[in-house]
Amino acid sequence: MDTRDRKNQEIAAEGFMAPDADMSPAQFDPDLALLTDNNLATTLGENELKDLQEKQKKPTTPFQDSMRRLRRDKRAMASVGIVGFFVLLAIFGPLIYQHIGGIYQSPISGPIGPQVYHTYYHNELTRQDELPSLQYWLGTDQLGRDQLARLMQGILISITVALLVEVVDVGVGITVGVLAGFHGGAIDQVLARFTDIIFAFPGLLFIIMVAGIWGGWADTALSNIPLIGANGNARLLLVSLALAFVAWPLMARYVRGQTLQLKEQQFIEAARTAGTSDIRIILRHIIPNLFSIVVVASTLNIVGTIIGEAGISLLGLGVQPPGASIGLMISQAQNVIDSHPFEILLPTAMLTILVMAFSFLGDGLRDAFDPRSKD
Amino acid sequence: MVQFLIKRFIGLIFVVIGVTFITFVMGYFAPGDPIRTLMGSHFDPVNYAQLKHAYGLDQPFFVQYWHFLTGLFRFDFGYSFEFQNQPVWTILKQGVPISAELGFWALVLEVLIGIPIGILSALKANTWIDTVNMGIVLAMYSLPVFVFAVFFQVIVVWIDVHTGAQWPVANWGNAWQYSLSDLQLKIGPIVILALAGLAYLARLTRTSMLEVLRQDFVRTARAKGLRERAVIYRHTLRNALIPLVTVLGLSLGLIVTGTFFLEDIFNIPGIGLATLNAIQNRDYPVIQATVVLLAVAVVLGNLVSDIAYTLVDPRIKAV
Repeated sequence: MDTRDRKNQEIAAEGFMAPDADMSPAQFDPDLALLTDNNLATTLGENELKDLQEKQKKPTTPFQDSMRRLRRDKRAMASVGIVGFFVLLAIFGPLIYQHIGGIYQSPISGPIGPQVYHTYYHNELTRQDELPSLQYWLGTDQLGRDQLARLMQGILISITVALLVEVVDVGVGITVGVLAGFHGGAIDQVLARFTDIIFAFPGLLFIIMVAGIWGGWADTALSNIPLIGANGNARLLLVSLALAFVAWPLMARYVRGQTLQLKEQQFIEAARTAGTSDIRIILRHIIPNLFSIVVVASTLNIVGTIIGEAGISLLGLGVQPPGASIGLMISQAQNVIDSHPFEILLPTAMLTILVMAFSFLGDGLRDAFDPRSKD
Repeated sequence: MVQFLIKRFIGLIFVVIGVTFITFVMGYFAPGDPIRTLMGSHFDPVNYAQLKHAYGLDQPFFVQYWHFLTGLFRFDFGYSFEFQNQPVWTILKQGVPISAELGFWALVLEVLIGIPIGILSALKANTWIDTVNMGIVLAMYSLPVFVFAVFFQVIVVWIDVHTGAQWPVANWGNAWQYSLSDLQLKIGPIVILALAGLAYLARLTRTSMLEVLRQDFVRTARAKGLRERAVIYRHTLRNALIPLVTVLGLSLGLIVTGTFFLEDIFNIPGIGLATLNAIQNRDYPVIQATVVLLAVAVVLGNLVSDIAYTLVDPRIKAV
């Protein structure tokens, strides 16, 4: 409960003895008493005294404790580094990469600069299936497209989809979960039934169905939306929504459980006694306390999302050919698996690294934020 | 027990109705007019009306849903849009035994390999064996099935190219027959499909074993001087296996989604591949039928594992 902006009635009441100036603070706090007692202070070493004072100045919050535990987890921290590196690579990589390299005399399209042949969609048909070279850092695919550029675009797609799905997942999951946990009743019943159905549906099966039936429509209709455009990525919006649709019930269930626990705790009771409205209790006291569970659940869900998008694109139901995605790269490289295995190993290894990094990060977060684990 | 069964059964009906409804709605509101696509340039209003009637598409929403639902019980999934006069079931029929075979052996493999790995890890807990085991298992569980399929294919192709071996990378032999050439084709996909479930089972076995090993009755068994083997096999393992029964449902889900990718990558003519082809041809009834079949299979698997759980564990009675 927030008491900073309230007049405390009890202190103003008659008969309440306020601590006054000539009472030393030591009389209230035994720890402080220890400090001000000169005899004791000398018996404690200089360093110990310092430690004690330090401790008094800054009590660590549970969040800081968790972050400290996370920082000590080497595997998780390495994963943070890897994920961060690939996110930066996906966003800024293409901008830099398209300015590296000289003019290339293409026999088909004439002289072209790196801003053309270092894009993920440019076909250089005389340079198919090449191994890494100075011009194409990770080689080219069977249509002479730059593999590095395609890979960076693929990572960007993976991360964008993951972000999009998590926004919906967290938004809907928290809203429904908190309402179900806090109010119970009909909304709780509906949620329970709905989660039963979604859990029965193997998630990818549902997404395959949605993408299979609505994919063609999405290609034409959704590509009219300004930002997405007609570059083969329109279906991603559909796939993301489908992924979010199967993901949120789990989040809602976690949130509901946590809310049920929180609801019974004393600080909520205190807030209620002080006349705080339900909405304010939910916004100020419950939602901030959901932070750790939501972070852990959504990080682990990102793994599923990345796999889901890659899988759907692999089956040819996600990103469409001019675009690039890790799954699509795997699927296209399958034709040349016997002659140019490097082309298929590259995106597969990339996916492996991304998935493992997010799994380790999720595991680390779970261990760090678990209230039962104390150092 | 009876009360529990009734409760579960009511829940099952809810879920089946929900699953079929979602599937039906997806097809019903699907963009485009299937009959129009079907007729192409030979469009004429009389034939159009006839065809629409033949497919039952001229009836109101709930009547169509009712037909869809009741048809399911007779394995009648309607007619394919793509191949006229062909019921959906005849299209899927050839694929069912192949997919079932793939899934069945994967499930068997999961149990036969996953549980011993878990036991080994639990008995050697916190030694290097355990660490290595669990590291491998974590990778197997978190990586998608198609990554392993691709790695497998690359390795096989590499061996074939460099040693002149003739190990095949794709296709499927005769269903449920195991000559040498059939086995060559089948081993790869089956093992790969089993990996994820196997890893999950191994992790769960390990946790469950460690939990039981901490119990008082295990200490009692040791205290009264039983041989270690008897303690492990008779007292610990039996109790540790109980919660594993519940994993069946989840394994089924993994297997069902896994078959889609494996049938696509290895070109196995199961129902997954049939469905993917149907998606290419916008043959909605086939897609719907597959989804309903597989989802119901998973739901039933869950029910069976729940019932098995109550049968195996004497502590749970009529919850």
